[in-house]
Amino acid sequence: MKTIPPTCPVPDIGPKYWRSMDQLADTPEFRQWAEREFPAGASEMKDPVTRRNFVKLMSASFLLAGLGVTGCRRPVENIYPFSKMPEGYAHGVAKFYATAMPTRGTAVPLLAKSNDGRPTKVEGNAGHPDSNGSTDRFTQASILNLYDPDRATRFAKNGGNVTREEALDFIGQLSKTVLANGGQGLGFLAEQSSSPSRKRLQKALAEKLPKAQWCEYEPVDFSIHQQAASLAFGKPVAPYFKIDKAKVILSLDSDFIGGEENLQLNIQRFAQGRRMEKSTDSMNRLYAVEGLMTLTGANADHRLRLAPSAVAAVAARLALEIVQSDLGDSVKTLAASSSISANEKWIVECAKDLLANRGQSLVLAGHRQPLAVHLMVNAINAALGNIGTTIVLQEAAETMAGSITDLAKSLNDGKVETLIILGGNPVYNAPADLNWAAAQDKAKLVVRLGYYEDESAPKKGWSLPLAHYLESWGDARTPDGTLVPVQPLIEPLFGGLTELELLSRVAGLEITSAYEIVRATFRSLATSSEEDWKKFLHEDFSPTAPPCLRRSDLILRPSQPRSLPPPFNRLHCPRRTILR
Amino acid sequence: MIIVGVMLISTGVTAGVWYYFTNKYTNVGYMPVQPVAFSHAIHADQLGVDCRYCHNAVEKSWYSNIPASSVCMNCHNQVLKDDPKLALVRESFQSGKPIHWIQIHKLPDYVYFNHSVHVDRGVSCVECHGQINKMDEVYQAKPLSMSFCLDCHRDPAAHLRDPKLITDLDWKPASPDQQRADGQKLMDQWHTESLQNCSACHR
Repeated sequence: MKTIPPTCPVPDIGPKYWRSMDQLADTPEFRQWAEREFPAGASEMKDPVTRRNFVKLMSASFLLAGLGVTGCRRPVENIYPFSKMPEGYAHGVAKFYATAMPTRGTAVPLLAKSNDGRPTKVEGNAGHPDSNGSTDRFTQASILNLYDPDRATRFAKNGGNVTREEALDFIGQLSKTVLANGGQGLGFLAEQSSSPSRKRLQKALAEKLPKAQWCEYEPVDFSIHQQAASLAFGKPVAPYFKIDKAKVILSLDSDFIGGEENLQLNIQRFAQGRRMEKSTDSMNRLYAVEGLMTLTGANADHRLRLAPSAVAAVAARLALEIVQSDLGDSVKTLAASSSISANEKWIVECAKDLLANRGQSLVLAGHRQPLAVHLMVNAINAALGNIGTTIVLQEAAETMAGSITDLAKSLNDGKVETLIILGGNPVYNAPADLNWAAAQDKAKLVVRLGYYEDESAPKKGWSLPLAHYLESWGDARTPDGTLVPVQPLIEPLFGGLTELELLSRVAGLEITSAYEIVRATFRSLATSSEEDWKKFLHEDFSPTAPPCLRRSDLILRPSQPRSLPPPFNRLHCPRRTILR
Repeated sequence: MIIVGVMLISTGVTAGVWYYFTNKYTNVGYMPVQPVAFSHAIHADQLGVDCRYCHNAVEKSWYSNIPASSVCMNCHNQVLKDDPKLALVRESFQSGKPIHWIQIHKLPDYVYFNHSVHVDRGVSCVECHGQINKMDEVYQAKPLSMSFCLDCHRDPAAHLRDPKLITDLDWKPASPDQQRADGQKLMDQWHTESLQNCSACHR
């Protein structure tokens, strides 16, 4: 029965290969092992009561049992119809609801599909004026977050389970305490948000709790675009890029189709500029300067591989070609940097192409680049006449939030005793210099509203589960400033709270339901008409609501970057060990 | 002798499987006792309630719904409102708990079947469910086997009818030739295909 495979013949001449150290050493144990087919447990084959025999017998028994008794009987299966028919419901026919996924600074308008009350798929809402039905990969994946088995599923105090009611009672008491002393020693750490309702609650909090500290933190922060534009144009503005209007695009370390904000719009608009329908149509041209392999670089017609630290020099060199006059000495020195001397020709040709397409070109700087690069890029775009054509400046509100650095300092100084963390995971992704984990532990009481029970979930303090956006009422603004609703498709699976609900409770407001909060915001921003509200929810955007980020027709003149802000005023780019 | 014996036995076994292991033998006539003695004969035939009054999603969905208790109560809060036979329906309507109906017509999970596509394109209820309007208690009238499906899929013209007559379970064509001519006309009008590829049903 058992055949012993012949041992591999070892050739007399040529290299001798070996498969283990034992074989190389040619020990007696190895020789014995190699001769046996089954090194261990092979003697079992002679034993009548073995695993194999057992499985053989049992499978035959199951087969007989199946044939004789249950196999021929049809199991009784029940159908359970509704007791009361929900209106307009038909089993097996999917329903679609208009909602939006809030992102850092904006939102993606969506049509969410619901099968028998379960959200199953999201797609862009083509009815929205600034969407045309596009989404990005984060939006597509967000539906899986809803059913993530790692979600925070419980209310917890010091790591032990508590009920939702107990947690809400605690927040009520906390609210009384902080309201009594005007928010002394209270700190909030939130994520960025475009929600007008949250802004409204934040204002209410600032009035009721004037001593409380409100800070926002995003590990990947795109707000530098707004920061630079506001600085360059002398008033708070946010740039809005119309990539489809540009004939020549230059990306300075900006992965605008793979890793920047509003990907869903950028991808589509870039593709729009490359679509040719008639033989006379022309394509846009993309130049990319980057140190990483990105989607933008892969799509570029001309790609210049350069260390991220040298991108500032490219921007300065371009400014020299394009802005020409009125440049500060620091820019000139930077433009003469040796890091780009080998690529002089590439940069000059690119500048020529940009100059040949005044008003139809676009220079983009990536969010990883420092403020100085963004300022130079603003000056270049203004000199090219792109402001108002390929870049629209929208009026923006000045941020009312402090930074995580301020909050860490307050925590370390003992000024913040009660810390409320809304979302995020600062222990994991706050800058390492801050040593946030230690700073967070210094607070006497930490209340954390989180989507996961992760590193930031306080061991001593309260953990509250956060509701998914498909479980919450909310609102947001899309990149063009349009107000969109965030509608729930399902009750919170684990009784989770939304930011709005928690904030309104902390502020001790009468209205604590997220729906009522959003409804009230809509009333104050748009109309109080019930019909308009219904239309708002149905169409997914409000044409009547005046967006606070209104498109500004005014073309502002940028101030020239005479001297660069630190660290570039010293003209030392931070040296990074990145392959060149 | 042995050879003949083996041949006889194998023929017998084959014939047995051929007959007894089919849907026709195992499923046709399956008539479980339902929790509520609902008579289709009274409602659909005597009273003339259209199938789609209760099975209202049949034209929209792959699934033909069993009506909710609230649908029964639409009439029975006036008619026979204290009948003991309807106690369970009233209880379900009040408590919100469903009635445990027993499923009769069942297709395997590996078959894709869509009610709305068939009903909206001239396949009457009677083709698969038999004359439900004559049944006091519902039973499975047709085998619903693969060959049963294919009989119609191979020759739709012999079965299609005007959508207005979909729920008229007593309707009969004037003659087989007439049926064929009308069916063909409908097929041409709707561009109905005779779907026989595997993935039409086994998706």
